[in-house]
Amino acid sequence: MSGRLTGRALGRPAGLSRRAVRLALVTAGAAVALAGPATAAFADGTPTPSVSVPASPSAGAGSGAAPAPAAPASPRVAGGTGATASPAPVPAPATGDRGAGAPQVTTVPKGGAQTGEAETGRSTVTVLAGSGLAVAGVAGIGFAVARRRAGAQG
Amino acid sequence: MLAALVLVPAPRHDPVRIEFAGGAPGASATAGPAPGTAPPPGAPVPSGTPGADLAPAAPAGGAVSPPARLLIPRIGVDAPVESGGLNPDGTVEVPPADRPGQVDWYREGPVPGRPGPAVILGHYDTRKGPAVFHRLPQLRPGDRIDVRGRNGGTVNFKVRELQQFPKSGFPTATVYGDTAGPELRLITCGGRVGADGHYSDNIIVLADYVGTTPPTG
Repeated sequence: MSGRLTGRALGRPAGLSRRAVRLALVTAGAAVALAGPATAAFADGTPTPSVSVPASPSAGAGSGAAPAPAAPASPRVAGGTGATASPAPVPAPATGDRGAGAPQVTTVPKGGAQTGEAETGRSTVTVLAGSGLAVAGVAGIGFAVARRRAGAQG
Repeated sequence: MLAALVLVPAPRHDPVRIEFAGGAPGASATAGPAPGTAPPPGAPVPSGTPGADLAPAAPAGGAVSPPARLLIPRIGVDAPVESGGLNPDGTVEVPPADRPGQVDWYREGPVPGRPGPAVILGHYDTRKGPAVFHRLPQLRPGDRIDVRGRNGGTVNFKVRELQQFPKSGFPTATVYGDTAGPELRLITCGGRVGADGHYSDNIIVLADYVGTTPPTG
């Protein structure tokens, strides 16, 4: 309203200025929308590994051996931490033994293991597109301001 | 301002280092390739673990079976164990990236509790966040590791040392070489993150056999 009145009073093309401002705002909004997902890429609510903290971490820490083995019936860690280390000196042939003279590891893998893959940030395409939109938005705003100033002076 | 918002720096990753490197010569946070490493795949490898010939633990009895769960109380790990083999290119298989809480036992090696180096691998992280071995670098010598078998028995190990090596100089003999008794190796990633998102190093936990809790019932 006031913009329209001002434009009319100054005798400059108010419609052009409003269009420029709209264009700039839309472009800027698109730039922000592109930047948003990349910024939150590593905090998407799934940072928690599926590991569990035992109820009493100190119960089984260290090498101390409890003499009375508890029944490890539950698959939870509580059974495992409570029961430990009764020496089992009785060697027995069983499944998994590879026979005398055979290598303990039958096939040795090549090299190391790819046991990690970190988030390296947003893609190049996203960065370029976002940068381009941001530049266009800034240019649009600058254009609108320049037009408004020119109208105010002339 | 908009440009600054869009071009805000991407997430940075500090290098992953083991917190305590001790227990044997050659173990360090930035250890290089061990001498005599990387024999050709399939070749017999010598006993490579320093100290492996010291006080060999008595082999486990018939109580051991293929592993079902891995328990590391100090770092809160209670993870399912699956078995893994080799990729077509000869490298070791690792758990699927969509199962960050799972670890893989290398089935071409011994069952944990049998003489030899049992190897278990787990991710340090995935693109979605931390994984099961994210806190592995925090382990220290003396920490306890339990491997529960499918038969309900549990094999107990104790951390001897942690080592960190570049993947290009992976200490094959140390990890997969024959040992005097049952031993355990845990492997995850460490070091710096490259442009492809992969880490430069592997972190290896060497653990000695302590004993076995037989299955009940």
